[in-house]
Amino acid sequence: MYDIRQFRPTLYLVLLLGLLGYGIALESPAHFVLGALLTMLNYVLTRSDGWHPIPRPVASGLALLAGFWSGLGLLRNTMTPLMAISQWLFVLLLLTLWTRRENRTYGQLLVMSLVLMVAGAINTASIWYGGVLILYLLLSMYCGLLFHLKVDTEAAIKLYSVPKERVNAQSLKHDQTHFARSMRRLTTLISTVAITVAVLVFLFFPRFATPNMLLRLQVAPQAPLTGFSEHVSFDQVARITQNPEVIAHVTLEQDGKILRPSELYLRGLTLNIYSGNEPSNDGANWQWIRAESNQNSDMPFAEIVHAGTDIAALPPPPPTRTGHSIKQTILLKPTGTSTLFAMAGASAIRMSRDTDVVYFPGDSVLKLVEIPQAAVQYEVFSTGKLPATRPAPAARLTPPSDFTAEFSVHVGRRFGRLHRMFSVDSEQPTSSRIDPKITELARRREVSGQDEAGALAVQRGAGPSPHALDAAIARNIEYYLQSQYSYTLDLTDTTRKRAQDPIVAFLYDFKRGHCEYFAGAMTLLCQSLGMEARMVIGFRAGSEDFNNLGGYFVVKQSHAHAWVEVLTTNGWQSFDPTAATFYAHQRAKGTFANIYDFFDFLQYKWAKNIVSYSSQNRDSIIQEADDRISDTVGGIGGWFKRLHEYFLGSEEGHVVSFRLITAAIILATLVLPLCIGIFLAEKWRLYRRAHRIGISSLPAGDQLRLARQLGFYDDLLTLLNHNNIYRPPHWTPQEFAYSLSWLPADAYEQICRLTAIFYRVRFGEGRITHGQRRHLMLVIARVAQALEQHAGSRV
Amino acid sequence: MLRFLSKSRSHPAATLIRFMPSIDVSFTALLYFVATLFIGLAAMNSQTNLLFGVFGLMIGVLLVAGYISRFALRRLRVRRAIPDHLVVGAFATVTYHVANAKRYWPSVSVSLGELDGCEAFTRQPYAYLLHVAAGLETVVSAELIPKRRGVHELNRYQVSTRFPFGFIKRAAIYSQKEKIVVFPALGQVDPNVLRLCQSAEKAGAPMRPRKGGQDEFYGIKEYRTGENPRWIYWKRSARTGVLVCREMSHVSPPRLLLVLDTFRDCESAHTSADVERAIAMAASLASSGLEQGHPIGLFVWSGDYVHIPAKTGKRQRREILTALSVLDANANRPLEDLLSAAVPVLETGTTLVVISPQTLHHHLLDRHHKEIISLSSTDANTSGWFLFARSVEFAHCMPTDQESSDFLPAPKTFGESSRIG
Repeated sequence: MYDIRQFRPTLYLVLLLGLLGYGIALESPAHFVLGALLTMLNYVLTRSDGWHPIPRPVASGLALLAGFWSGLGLLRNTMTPLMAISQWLFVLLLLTLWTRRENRTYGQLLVMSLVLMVAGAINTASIWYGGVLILYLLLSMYCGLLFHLKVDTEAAIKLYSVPKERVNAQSLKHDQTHFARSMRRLTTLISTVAITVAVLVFLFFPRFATPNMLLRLQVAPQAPLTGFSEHVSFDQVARITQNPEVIAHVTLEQDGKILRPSELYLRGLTLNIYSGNEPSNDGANWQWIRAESNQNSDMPFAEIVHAGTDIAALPPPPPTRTGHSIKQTILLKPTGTSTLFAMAGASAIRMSRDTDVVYFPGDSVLKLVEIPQAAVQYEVFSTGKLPATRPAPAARLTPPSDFTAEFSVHVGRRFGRLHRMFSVDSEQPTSSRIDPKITELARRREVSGQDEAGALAVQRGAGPSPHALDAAIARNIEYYLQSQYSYTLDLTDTTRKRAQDPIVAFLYDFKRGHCEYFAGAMTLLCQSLGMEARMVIGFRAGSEDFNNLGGYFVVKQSHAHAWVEVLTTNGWQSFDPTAATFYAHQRAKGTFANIYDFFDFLQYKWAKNIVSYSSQNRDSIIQEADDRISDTVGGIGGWFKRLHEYFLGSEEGHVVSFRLITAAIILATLVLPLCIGIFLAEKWRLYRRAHRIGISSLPAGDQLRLARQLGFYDDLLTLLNHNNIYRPPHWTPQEFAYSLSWLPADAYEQICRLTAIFYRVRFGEGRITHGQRRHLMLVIARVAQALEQHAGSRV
Repeated sequence: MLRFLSKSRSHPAATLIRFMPSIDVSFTALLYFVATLFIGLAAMNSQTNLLFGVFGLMIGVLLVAGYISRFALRRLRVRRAIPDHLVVGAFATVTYHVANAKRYWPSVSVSLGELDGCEAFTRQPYAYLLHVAAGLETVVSAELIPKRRGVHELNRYQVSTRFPFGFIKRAAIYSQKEKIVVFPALGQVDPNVLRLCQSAEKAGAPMRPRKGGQDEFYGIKEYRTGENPRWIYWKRSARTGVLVCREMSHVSPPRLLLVLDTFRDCESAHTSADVERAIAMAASLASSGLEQGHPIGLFVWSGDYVHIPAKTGKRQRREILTALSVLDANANRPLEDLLSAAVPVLETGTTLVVISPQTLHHHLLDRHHKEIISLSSTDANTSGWFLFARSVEFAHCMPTDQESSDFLPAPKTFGESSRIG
């Protein structure tokens, strides 16, 4: 029986791909390296005779140990349940690889490898993983086919079939020659069908609004975001390390055109209260907190927007939603927070998934109801400007009466969490605790500015906000900080008294710091003068972060930034007091920028179109397909209708149709006899050929069939006749061929070959394809050439 | 799912027949289906798009498995080739010529199993074909051991496949009616038996020398072109001027008439086994003797008296063995009647060899005043001269309709498997 030797290498390749995929998903090269080394070593050893499997008790003991280790990790909360299981499976796979070889073992290996890949698929959005997964699935399908054949063959040998040494040689040769090609064809067919179904299911299977309804499936715990945090504290933070990991891709469009501004500010949260030396809720001092900015306002504190079906209008309604608004398509990776990022003045949002968004109209902040575990894609329309109106006093959220029946279906279940999100601690300070030194600095002329009438701070006084001078004062403070202070991420060489305000230390002693120091200082300087100011945390990307290939900004975690918004008579205006060295630092771009852009583009497309594919995309595809089908059907129907009207409804149409019918009848009258004539001539020609070949005694059907197939032999005879070589009627073709041994060797051999084919077709039920017939004509041409040369040499 | 209705054999001679319905779903398929549902559930729970893709892929594999298993059996032309005859207890091969008439797609992992006539064999004739490429033909063999003599009809056989993943099993039934003759078991015959036959008659025609041998001088004849020049008698040739050569003689081999007693006075299994052993002894002796050039004939009762005159040659061998393979049960003609009928047809110079399950009594032999050699299948000495393969079970060697009632096969069970005695 044919040995299915392709199976083992394919199996090992599948296992290696599975381990590679798992390593990528876990972002753990150690897993891959360890697994790959053990797998390849096993492959090499099993090919030699010196390999001995691990004794079963030892393997069982090791498996138990691995299970115990995974369970311990689960109990200590260092692993998620899925991760604990997958880690255990990983060890189990390697152990199984080193135990005894049976078909059952192979089956177990394939299943475990598949489960590892599935676990990986839940955890990662990497395009590399996607590529490995596709390759893995195709190869595992091929491996599955071979495995099935191996099992079947062995079962057949064991149960019924002929022993190996008595296998039919013809069958064995047939398998050796054609098996690989046949398997390739079948694998191609299976892959094509399976992938087509996979694509259809992927495109059209309904998606639900809320993931993890039954169980939270997550292999690895979400990596904490090092760039962005909802809390800003200066306590015990001396050094910040930057993380270059991409956190978002942002495409900007206006009036259908891609925008490429020199810098992009994505707002996240606003923080307006500085806790000072008093510990906040989480026990930290010197912290910025987000307070209820619109207490006693007419506007609601927060509004839940069901953004699943269409663009939801957010108050206040934008004057032109699609006109001059900037459309931002944002693909945001999990940040560990529920905050959504957008340009200033968000007026409408559309989520790709059917999820709810919480909108805080007081400071235009957008949040999700839950912290997302996977990448989120959304579109935001922003005016680029914050509302000019100052939020009026309003009531707080009064759950659950504010929930309409519709919303309660979607978010009522999670009301408890929502309530915690919106609730405000009654002991929370309502204004920043500002050190007098900061106030004193703010009043200085070189800080807040001056004009002919004197210092601006003095002119402004303690009047209500906004004041006409607020914008100018803010600009001066921004300039002062930018010019007098320097940017650094490393403050380890500085010492500060424990009771000293870090902002005061920054302003008076260190005179350097990172963006939060700059923004915090400016916010406090403005607030100390009675101005309304808040710190905004989010991301800032420059033109160097624009991907030309894809036309989008690449936002990294290191782009996390803080800046300031000040309420002026023109509304909230943004100021960025961070020193210019910060931008110089960010502008550094590598030599291989284009290559990086290309790979990032691939990753972006993968994440956008595959990983973040949603019910919205699905609906739009269905809608588009429906539209196109309707258009096509309508177009064809209209065309027929017009044709019908033309021929039957108009005089000219009648004339044309009459002429067409007449022409068709004349054509048919001419063509039909011609066809019959050709048919009869062809039949007569075949009968003549059959007579020449010597098969005229056969039934008519066989004569015609063989005459068609044996045309090449007739041509050969004709050629020989031209050369005055005739076959005597009483000779068989073989006798005739053997009698031509006096011809040149080439011609003789070819004639013998053609005669053998003649016999195969005539008596062996062989069939000649069209291609083979063409090839035979070439052979006859070579015979003619040889005969011609022979005749020439004789002359 | 392939199920054998009963794992235990209802009786030792039963032949297990694997029969599959035209379509069936395997246990592997159920497992796979559960795994697919699990992946689907995981995809819906986590809303991970890649898992939706994997889920779709698994559904696609399931669909394509159903389709491929269907078309793997389409346009498959199978032709069975069986040997001219088979011998009980001897390995034989049935070949299947499988041609795949599909233009592009191969057929892979195809099993072929006979459904009719399986009672003649120790197990169902079953062959496995790994693959036959598109537009080509291949040959696959099934080895089998016949266990019952007689003429058996092979007709229906089943072609099935579990390809590609063993999820769905498809089967199709083909028909090709053919009759196959199974000769009785042929054992090794002790040379003493034929020597005994030779010495049974001391005078008369059997001892008359015949030309053509190499034993003694017989005469002189004219040399003809092509004859061995070694035999040219040079002295005489030189004297006469004409090439002459010597002719040598050899002793005529004994002519034997095998009288086979198949009388069964009771229906016991033991008796049947003895009768079958006697038949096998007769067949072995005939085969061995004919191969050595002895003229051998047969006289037996099979519904009527069957007399095959003693002759030599392959055709004679075939005739005798065929006659022995289709012998009917004999409950009417005891040995005495048989001998009475055989003696009148006995030719001169022919030795009577009586093969019987009984031990012959002297008075019976004396009555016929003939030199008779008797071989009894129940006698340890005489039956020891015949050595049969261990796989031969004489208790079940007879055609099914002749099997004694205590070994009757279990009733045929319906469903996917059945046993035929």
